[in-house]
Amino acid sequence: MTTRPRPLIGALIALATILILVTAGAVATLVGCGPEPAGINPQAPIDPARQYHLVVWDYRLPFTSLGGAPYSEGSREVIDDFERRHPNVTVDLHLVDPADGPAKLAEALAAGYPPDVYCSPYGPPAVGSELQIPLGLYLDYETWSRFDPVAWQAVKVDDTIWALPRWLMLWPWLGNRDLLGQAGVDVERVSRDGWTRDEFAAAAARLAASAGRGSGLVFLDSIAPAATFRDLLLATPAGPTAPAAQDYWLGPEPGLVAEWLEELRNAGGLGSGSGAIDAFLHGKVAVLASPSPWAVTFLMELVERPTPSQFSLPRRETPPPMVLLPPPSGPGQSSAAWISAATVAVFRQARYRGDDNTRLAAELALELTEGLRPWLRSEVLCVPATASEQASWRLRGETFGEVGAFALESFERFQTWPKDRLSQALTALNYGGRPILVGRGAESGPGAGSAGSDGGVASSARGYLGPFLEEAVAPAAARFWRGEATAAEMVTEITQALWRGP
Amino acid sequence: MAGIRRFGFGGSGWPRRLFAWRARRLPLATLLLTLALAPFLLWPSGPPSLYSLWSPALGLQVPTCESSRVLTLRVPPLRGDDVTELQMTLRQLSIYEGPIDGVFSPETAAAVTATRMKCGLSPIARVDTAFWEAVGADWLAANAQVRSAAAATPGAAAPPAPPEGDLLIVINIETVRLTLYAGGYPYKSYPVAIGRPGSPSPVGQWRVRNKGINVGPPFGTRWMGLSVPWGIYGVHGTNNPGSIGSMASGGCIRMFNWNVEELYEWVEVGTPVHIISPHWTASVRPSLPEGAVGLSVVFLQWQMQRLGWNAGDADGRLGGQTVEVIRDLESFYGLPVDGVADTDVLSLLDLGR
Repeated sequence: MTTRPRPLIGALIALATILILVTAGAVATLVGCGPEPAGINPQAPIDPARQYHLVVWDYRLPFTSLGGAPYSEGSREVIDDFERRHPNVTVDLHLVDPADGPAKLAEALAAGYPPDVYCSPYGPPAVGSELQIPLGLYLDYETWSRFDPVAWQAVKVDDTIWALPRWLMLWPWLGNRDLLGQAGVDVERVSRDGWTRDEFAAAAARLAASAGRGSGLVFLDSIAPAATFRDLLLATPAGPTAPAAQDYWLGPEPGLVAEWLEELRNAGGLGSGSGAIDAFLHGKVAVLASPSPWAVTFLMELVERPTPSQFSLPRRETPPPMVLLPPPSGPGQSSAAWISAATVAVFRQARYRGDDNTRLAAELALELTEGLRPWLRSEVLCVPATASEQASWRLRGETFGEVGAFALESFERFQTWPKDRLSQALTALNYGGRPILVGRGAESGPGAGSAGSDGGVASSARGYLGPFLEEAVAPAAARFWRGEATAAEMVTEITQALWRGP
Repeated sequence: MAGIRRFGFGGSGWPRRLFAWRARRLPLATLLLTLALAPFLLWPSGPPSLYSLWSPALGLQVPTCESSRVLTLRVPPLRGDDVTELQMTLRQLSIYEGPIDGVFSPETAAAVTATRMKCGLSPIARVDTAFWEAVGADWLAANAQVRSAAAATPGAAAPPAPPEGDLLIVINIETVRLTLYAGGYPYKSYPVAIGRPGSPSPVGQWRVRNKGINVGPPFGTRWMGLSVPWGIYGVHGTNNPGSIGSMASGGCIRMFNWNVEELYEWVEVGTPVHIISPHWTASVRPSLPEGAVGLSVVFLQWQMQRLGWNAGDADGRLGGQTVEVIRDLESFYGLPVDGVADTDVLSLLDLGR
């Protein structure tokens, strides 16, 4: 006699199993352990029946177009247009402040929920985070060709396109024309063709001799010593091919540059870094190193003083006549002003929302990258990334006199550099040549790694300086600039940081 | 007793009894006398009036922009801005031709006495509430057209309906007028009196902090306190209507009473009040500490606004939002980010030395 199975017990067991599975699924979803993409299909079809929701972060920047429209209006218009063409997509635009934007992105990455699209004036963000989407997948030949090759070089890190180039910024040094003339410098030639470190040091010595002791004059000062050290290494080394990334820091050049700075300091030609802009404006500094392009534009008064409406500005002392200069280079090298890119990056979230969502984000990112920016037209040191806008920038550049000519020549100099040399230089100087893909195996593709890990997050909490510059170079350079460290100590500290790794 | 007689108390019975009582209870009497004289010892120029002690009980701070002391002839003579204003008023009434020097001189006292007689008050050299009320009434009687002509926007009758939309009060120091904006458009304009050169009205972007009715004679019938962090300032009425249109106040904005009564009904606590002065300048000291207050902070904030930074109201307080803007500016320009408006930050705000 066989025992018949009891149907009630069987049903209860089945129900319990289903409940356990459903609960486990819900918990996994809630804690952000959703399925991760094994690979991204950039052509994933967009489901017309699905409602998509994208989040865009952009910065609150103090620009206005002619007519007073704020900077963010440009992004808003692009988003509105995108929503009109995609009725099943809604986009939220959040504006973040320049000081805390990078930190907020780092927090969002750590939590696993960064924005879908992140527009930044500071360069490729969060490189190495497993949540950042490499955008080469979404770029066809036509898209590539719409952008200047230098722009792609400026956003390519370790041979990967981590962000789209919105615009490029040139970082010239500022010279006091009077003091440089007093030092016997042919400012027109230097501005056009560059100069060497030896020429620079000789001019500093001549100025010191002519001004005499107690004049309070210094030849060089900087508002950001790490950026100055970076600028002096950009042209490293001579030759048609780029060195390996780590050679920028481990080769002889950092030591030579540091020793040169030390000699300048010993000769009384180096400022303390405190109040450098103020000292420059009051004729106490011949060369102001590494001001940002916005600062250069402001100081040169290409932006006119607004008409007083509520208050009058105090009478200002006449600023010194200024000239844009490239940083000096080593023997046989050609001077080059630093270049950085404002970018648009795409992220996925820890709880992956699908390749179709990512594709929409990438398409929106591209449109935000190419969107019109009327305010850019008065910023001569900002070079549009697209070829079409660049054409009109070149025309406008001619109307900006010496500044425009400097910008054009500086930018065109990069176009003559060997392929990938600029990209490798920027990667090496910003990221230090150490392994960049933190927490991600180079071979494992997007989506590898666990959600919420802080791999690569640290690199996002920066302004214009890349992670290596900020973490390793900035403290050492600041100590050196304040006179608290020798050149050898500065280089040793940087080298040790390089070996120590992230 | 001889002393008492000498002062004219000899024929009376109660002074003698008082003196005898004092002789017996000298310590207690001394204490009482000290208490009675304490206000005059503490405030040599006269004790504060009762109304100035009233407002804290209602949660308002004591307005200090208008003096409320009683002016009399003293040795040494009383001095101050309130005496200056008195002299200006007396001169406006063609009663006083002496110097406008802020000294309550015998010449000033004589003019006060003459004014009181003209207004039907007792002929003593005393400037008190009754004096100002009488002078104000006299001035209004002589300038009856003011009430209709100066009250409203020129050419416009009094608006029939309350203003609609967000309200903003703009006080222009140079035109000496207060304009009420509703929904972004000018709704009505009023003449005002502003601060004297030595006690200027606080330029900046404030908000109405509190309101009060009849807080004291110098403040007229209505008071709207402003959120100025370094003093008590407000928009209020006046008992000296002849001062309207001039630089006469201790920094407050005076209005005709009937004007301030109208405005009072429309304005709520929190309404923005912008005091502007197109040709006003201030110097900004580098590295002002967080928490600093003053006109230089107003100027710093205002310049941030003008250059496109989200600095909020120019409220004269170097608080969290202003520090955040400084940090944003530093970050944007590539400076070390420390939130301190040092010389480099000021240079990039066009406020350098």
